[in-house]
Amino acid sequence: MTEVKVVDLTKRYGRIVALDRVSIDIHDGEYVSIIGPSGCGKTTFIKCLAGIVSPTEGEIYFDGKLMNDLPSEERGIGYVFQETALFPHMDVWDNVTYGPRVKGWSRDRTRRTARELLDLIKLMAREDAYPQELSGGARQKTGVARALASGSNLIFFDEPLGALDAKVRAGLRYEIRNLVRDLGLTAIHITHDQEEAMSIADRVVVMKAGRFVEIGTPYELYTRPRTIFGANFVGEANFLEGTVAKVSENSSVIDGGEGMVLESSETSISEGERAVAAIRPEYVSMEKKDGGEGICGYVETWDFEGSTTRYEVTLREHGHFAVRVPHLPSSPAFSMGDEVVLRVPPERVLLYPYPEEGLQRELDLEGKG
Amino acid sequence: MPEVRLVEVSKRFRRIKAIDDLNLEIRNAEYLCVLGPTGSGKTTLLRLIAGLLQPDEGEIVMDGRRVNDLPAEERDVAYMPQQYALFPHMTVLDNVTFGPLSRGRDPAESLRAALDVLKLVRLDERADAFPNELSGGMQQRVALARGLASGAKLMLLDEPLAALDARLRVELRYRLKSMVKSMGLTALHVTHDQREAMIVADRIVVLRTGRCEQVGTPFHVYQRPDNLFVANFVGDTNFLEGTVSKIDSTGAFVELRGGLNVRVQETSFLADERVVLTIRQESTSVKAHGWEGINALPGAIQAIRFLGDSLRIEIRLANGDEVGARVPLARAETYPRVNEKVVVSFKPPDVSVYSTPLRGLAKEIEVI
Repeated sequence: MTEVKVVDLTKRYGRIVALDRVSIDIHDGEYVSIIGPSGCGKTTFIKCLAGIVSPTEGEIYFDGKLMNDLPSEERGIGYVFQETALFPHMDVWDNVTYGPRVKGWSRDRTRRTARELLDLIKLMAREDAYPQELSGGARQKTGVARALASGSNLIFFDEPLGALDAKVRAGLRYEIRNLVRDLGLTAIHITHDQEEAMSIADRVVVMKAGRFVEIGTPYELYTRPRTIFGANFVGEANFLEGTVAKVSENSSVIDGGEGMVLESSETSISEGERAVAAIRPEYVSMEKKDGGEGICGYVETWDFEGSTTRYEVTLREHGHFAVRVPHLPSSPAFSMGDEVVLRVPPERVLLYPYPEEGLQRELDLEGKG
Repeated sequence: MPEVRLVEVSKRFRRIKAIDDLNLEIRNAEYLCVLGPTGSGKTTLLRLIAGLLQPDEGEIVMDGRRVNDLPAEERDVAYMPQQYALFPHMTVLDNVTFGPLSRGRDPAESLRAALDVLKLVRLDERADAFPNELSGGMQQRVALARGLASGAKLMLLDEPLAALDARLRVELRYRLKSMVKSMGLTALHVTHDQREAMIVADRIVVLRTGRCEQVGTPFHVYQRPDNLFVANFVGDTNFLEGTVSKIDSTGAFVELRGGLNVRVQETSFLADERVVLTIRQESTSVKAHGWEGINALPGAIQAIRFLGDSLRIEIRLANGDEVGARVPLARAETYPRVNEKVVVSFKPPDVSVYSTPLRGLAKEIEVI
């Protein structure tokens, strides 16, 4: 039951700008994930909201109330870190009921809350286990329950699954998501794992160098990223440079030079302008060279990925191009050296103005941009 | 040329068997991934080969020579532990060239090799930086570069990409493999991430509680897991428990609880035998309510998870069993909604059949 409004939030450390005028409205009960490369300002952002770091400029409102000068403990929030520091000498039950007991809640209310939470995270049977007796996943769930037990309506997760094995992580993210939904909380979840962000969030924010460069539903973000950086950071994309040769009512033609021509259903860039086309590997269809139109190349390598196979195709003048196809139970359909032709439906060709500082700079994952 | 063999190797830490009677061969110029959950013995295995631990039993043989008693510094290996330590008072470049120079390698050659590997890990522009000026991920990449440029032929890499952002990790795993290959090195790479293993490895060894569960190419391990643990740990898999009800010349029927029937191709089980069926989530399809055909299991959608290039649809079958289906995103718009009734189906050749484990399915596939 918390609505969050952030207006032009800025945090400077000397000359370094950690947060650069970021704004967002988060609805009551919404689950927002924030992703971005190391050092992009993700943690600074939630530390400002949590009252652990004071912003240099800008305002933070929870349910319409200005929070800037309110101390952390009065903001009604929970905070879960990558390494949840449970009290090692207390069992699960005591860890979870610690907050309510300190706050002087009645015995009944404390017990009811702890039971409900432990039930939801399926740890009731382990209530008398000590932290060191629990698996990493169970420890992290206990940390979540402890953070929620004090009755917070707004919870911050900072890489809550970062220390866990991939397989455990993939299951636990849904448990956390369901718990937050069942309790009707508002949540902000920081992660460096884009699949984690997309699979659980209502909306995803992509950060780069202290700014919010994308805010949207996972579906929008994946299928229609607004920026080249977003297209590259979320999922994989092939990038081709070229010039817009022709714009008609519902498509444009991009000339990449050396006979490479692409059609896109986007028409936002004028004729003669330089542009970058982005294409996801799974939207490309690949066939053995058949004399028809398309992008020609040969198969350089292939990688078996399990449910999919990823081919790298070398184009004559345009470097490598990745193509991802569902894996078929038989051996790969293409071999190294095969001449192939690639085709992409125009609605799957995303188009961006050529970035002022060059394409490579825009794709830089260190986020120095 | 490094070729390493472990013969019936065991290593105990007090009462815990970290490595339990392990036989393993690492071929020359091979990229071998060691995959397993936390506590499966992956790091112990690397430390045994590095010479930092001695086996309690068994032999470690390198190039035909027993090395059990050979000290670490005399083995031609580069070990990159998870907790790598860079020299804090040296620049990135000096950290990377330190090993080769102290072994008396030609300075010009060492410098060239160092710059090559720094380019691989995308840190050539930070060659003059000191470790404390770099992020954790960057420091890990320096440690990786240092290992690759050390001149050793055998790389022992413990979670070499773990400290990196997910997106950068994906990119570097392709580069890491091609660098190891082009330098003609042999690599043993420990990871808990099955997708990483799948992409970098020539062969994968799956470890669990110190034992080898399966060794094979990524393709083989994925397509034909030897057991239920591997089927669960590698890839996203549905498990259904049932009893073989009828066998004929082209397959069998397995009855699930609640009277649902599944047709399978496997015929090597007996009637009334209790079995577990596994089906990959990408081989599981979701059809409209009322669809009729082979293996039509009715259910209702519980959740739809967006994974980027695909969706995972979670379905509760009429008998209470839960399954997931991974479907390409391209058709997302046409997909059904939460709570909608649907039919789940899979083709008989896509169903694998295993004996029901004595200790129960949940215990058998438990990751931790």
